[in-house]
Amino acid sequence: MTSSTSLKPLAMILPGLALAILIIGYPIYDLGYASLHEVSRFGQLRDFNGFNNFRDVFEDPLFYGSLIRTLIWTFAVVGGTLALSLPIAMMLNEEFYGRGLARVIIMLPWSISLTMTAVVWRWALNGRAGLFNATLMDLGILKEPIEWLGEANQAFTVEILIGILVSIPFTTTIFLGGLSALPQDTYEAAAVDGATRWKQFRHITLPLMKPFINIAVVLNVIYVFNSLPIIWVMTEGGPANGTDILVTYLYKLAFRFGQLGKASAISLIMFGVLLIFTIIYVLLVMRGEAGAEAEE
Amino acid sequence: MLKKSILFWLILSPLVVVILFPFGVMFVSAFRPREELFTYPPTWTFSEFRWANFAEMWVKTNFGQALLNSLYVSVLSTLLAMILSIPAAYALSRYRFPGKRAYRTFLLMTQMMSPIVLVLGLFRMMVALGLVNTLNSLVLTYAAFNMAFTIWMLQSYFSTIPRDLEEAAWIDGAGHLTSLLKVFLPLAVPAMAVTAIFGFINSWNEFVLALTMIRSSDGFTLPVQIYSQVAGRYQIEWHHVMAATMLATLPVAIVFSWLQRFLIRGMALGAVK
Amino acid sequence: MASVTISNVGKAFGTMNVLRDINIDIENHEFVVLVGPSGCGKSTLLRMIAGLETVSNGEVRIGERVVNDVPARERDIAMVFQNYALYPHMTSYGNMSFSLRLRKRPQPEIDQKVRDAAATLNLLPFLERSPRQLSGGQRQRVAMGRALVREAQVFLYDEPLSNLDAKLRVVMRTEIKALHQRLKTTSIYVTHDQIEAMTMADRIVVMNGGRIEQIGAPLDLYDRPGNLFVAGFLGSPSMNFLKGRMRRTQGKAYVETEGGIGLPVSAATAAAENQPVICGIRPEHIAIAGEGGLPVTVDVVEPTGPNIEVFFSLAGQNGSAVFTERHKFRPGDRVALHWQPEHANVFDAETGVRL
Ligand SMILES: Nc1ncnc2c1ncn2[C@@H]1O[C@H](COP(=O)(O)OP(=O)(O)OP(=O)(O)O)[C@@H](O)[C@H]1O
Ligand SMILES: [Mg+2]
Repeated sequence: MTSSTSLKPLAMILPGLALAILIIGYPIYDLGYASLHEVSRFGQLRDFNGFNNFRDVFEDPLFYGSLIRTLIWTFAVVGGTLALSLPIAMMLNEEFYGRGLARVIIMLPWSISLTMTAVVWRWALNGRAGLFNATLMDLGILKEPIEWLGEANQAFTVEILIGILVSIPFTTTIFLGGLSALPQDTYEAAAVDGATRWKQFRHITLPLMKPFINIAVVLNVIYVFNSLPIIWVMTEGGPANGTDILVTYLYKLAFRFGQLGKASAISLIMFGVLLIFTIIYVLLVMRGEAGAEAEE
Repeated sequence: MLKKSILFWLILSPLVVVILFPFGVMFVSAFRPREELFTYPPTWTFSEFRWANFAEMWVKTNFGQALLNSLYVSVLSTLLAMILSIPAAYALSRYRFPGKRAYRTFLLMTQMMSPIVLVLGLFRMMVALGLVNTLNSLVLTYAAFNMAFTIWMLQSYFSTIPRDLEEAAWIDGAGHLTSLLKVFLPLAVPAMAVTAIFGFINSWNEFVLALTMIRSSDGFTLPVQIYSQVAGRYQIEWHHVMAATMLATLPVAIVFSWLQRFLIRGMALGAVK
Repeated sequence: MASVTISNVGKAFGTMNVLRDINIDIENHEFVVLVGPSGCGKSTLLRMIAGLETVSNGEVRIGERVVNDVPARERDIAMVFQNYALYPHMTSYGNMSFSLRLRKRPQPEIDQKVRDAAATLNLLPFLERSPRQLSGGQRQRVAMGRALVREAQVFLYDEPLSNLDAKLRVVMRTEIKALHQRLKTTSIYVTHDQIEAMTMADRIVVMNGGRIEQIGAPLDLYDRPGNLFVAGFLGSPSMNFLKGRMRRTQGKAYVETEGGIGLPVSAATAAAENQPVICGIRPEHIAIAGEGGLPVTVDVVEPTGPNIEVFFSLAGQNGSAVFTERHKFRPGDRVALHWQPEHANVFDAETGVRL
């Protein structure tokens, strides 16, 4: 119970910590190092070249295109997801017939690999034989099949919609966790005080859910910002780089074109952005915990 | 209640349809005879359940091998993550120690690190370690990336197991190890199982690292194998792809549906506290 | 069975001192109750005796052995936890036999002891149930049973009855006391309920803010509280405190309130003339006076069944009195009261110490 007790917990966390530092810490260091050097196609580090790699990145029009699309992609997917998830979570938090089934269905996309989801949608949206066209034509909405993924803007829009679809389960889960923790008697008190449903939402649900909304925003921003599979599988950033976002562009640079120095620089830039979001997230979580401790 | 239920289902129905739509597509395309895939104009109808599609697919796409690879990677990485996470989570929920806050912050930060940003550095590291193109490179990386989640989940569950149970065991004459084995672990097993299954699903579904680390096709995991059936090919055998996708996703989807309420509970308990 | 000696014990969590200079000598067979308001450090002290918290300063001895560095499992104590801490994955039988199984006792002996304990606690029909399937009172008994089978040196209880409803609490209180009278195991019992403390204890330790206020037999503490805190903490309804200054005339002593009313106190009181003091008088010691009593105004009357509690104001100060007679008072009535001078306690108004 003396000093040995404070060594014991340290010994318990150490092995995991070591693995995390090796797998997550070392590559960051390596990327930082590589980004300041000339790197051959085969990964050999040549001379130190200062910020040349970064200059290359900032002179590359494709980088800016990808950057802008990354912003659009992130804002659209996260915004759409949040706008849909809160009402969905509020419905799923209420008692109604078949709620269990509804929950299962809405959570379903989460269990499936994004890769597989994207593969299926790519087939479903196929211009000649896709069942999406078939459905729209059966319903009389379309006369002629459409090649959904043939044109960049349209493909990008479709990808955003699918991005929203697959982000809803996770976000709804966070909100459900938050809603189930809301004190029921507050609502009863508000109802007794004569608050309408809308006012209850406005003045009780929203403020109390704010910490969860914050966390959902930050986590979703991070996940969506980093999400490769949907765009990679459906269009590989094409046609003509028209749906490239930073991650797909980065992946192409690194593993298709062998521009490893430049790719390291982009990785590092993205890491910086991520770090900012992560710090925001950590602060949010810590503040939540401080609040919880103060309540105890 | 009935009116409310109908209303809610009506509101949710567009979403439900869009979610179930790909499953329909998968199902129809997997069972259709090949000739009916490209009828024009496209329709949902099909003439027979062609089970032979699955048998053909199994051979043509080397599904068995990919399945084994996926199992190997997911099982081992989950085991590794659990072995490292259980003591860490226990330490977090039971002890005060110097640097605890810093450690929690570190966990939160690693939870946020996505493989894609590090993939180039990881690849270079695996080359240096001579692990590139081995499934073990995936075991290590998946375990590392999953650990933040598993530690977090486990510690929030562990914290719900009252500490005084272990104290009662000590007073009853048990040592630390005995009280762990006889009192704590039996109570923690369900939580550990649930957490392990979520870790497993994460590994099972991972794409970017698998795509990067594994260079030869007999090492592909299922997502990469299926992706390789559609990427850069002129002739895509969609009925095989859909059959493979169905076989790879359905078991996971069923297990997940059964477990999702635990995830909500975990979130409420602390993952997002 | 053994004595427990606590000498100069202190406890700090980090930089926060929660216990200071605790000295208690608990004799063999004694039943000692630690009582005090929430957060005063009762549980911490008990857990230090149990070996669940380290001892920051001083010494804890069980029998002759200093146990500061002895782990809980080697102290040969049994403990009943506030939330019972029953192992949820074991039956009642499993819970009660756990310690014996850990000690690898022969099966017939385990069986015998568990059944004996279960018979004592009326638990025989519930041995095969899991804690989930038991009522609160039954769980409490299983927790007791787990301690009983141990035949330990010392029994520790941390608010074992606080999760029970009022009726059951009274029943269990009596049962624990009866059990102690039979087994005579040295017991330390933590509660914040002063009635539990009064009814069960051989000696009471009154704690406040990490210190001991007073130690003594229940009635001694009740009749001669050492200070204002103890006086106010024990007894319900609690003692009246009336401010004034000490006066003596013709061999009689009284406390004069601001309005010039003299409250009778014992002549033996060691207070100087004109010293600011507080006169403490228990409500049940107040009676209706015939002539020349203390004039009070009735504010509120509360019948409790056996008694009538009357809240009054006396020269601008509030007090209460308890009568068994069915007086028909109404708010606003003017009544004359008195009490025996030797029933009154006088406390120093500044230090709170009894004079
Ligand atoms: N592990 C700990 N770390 C820091 N402070 C603690 C710890 N345990 C207890 N304390 C503090 O020590 C003080 C005494 O706590 P303790 O639990 O002994 O009170 P108690 O008298 O049992 O109160 P109650 O009647 O509410 O159970 C409290 O102020 C509490 O906040
Ligand atoms: Mg306590």
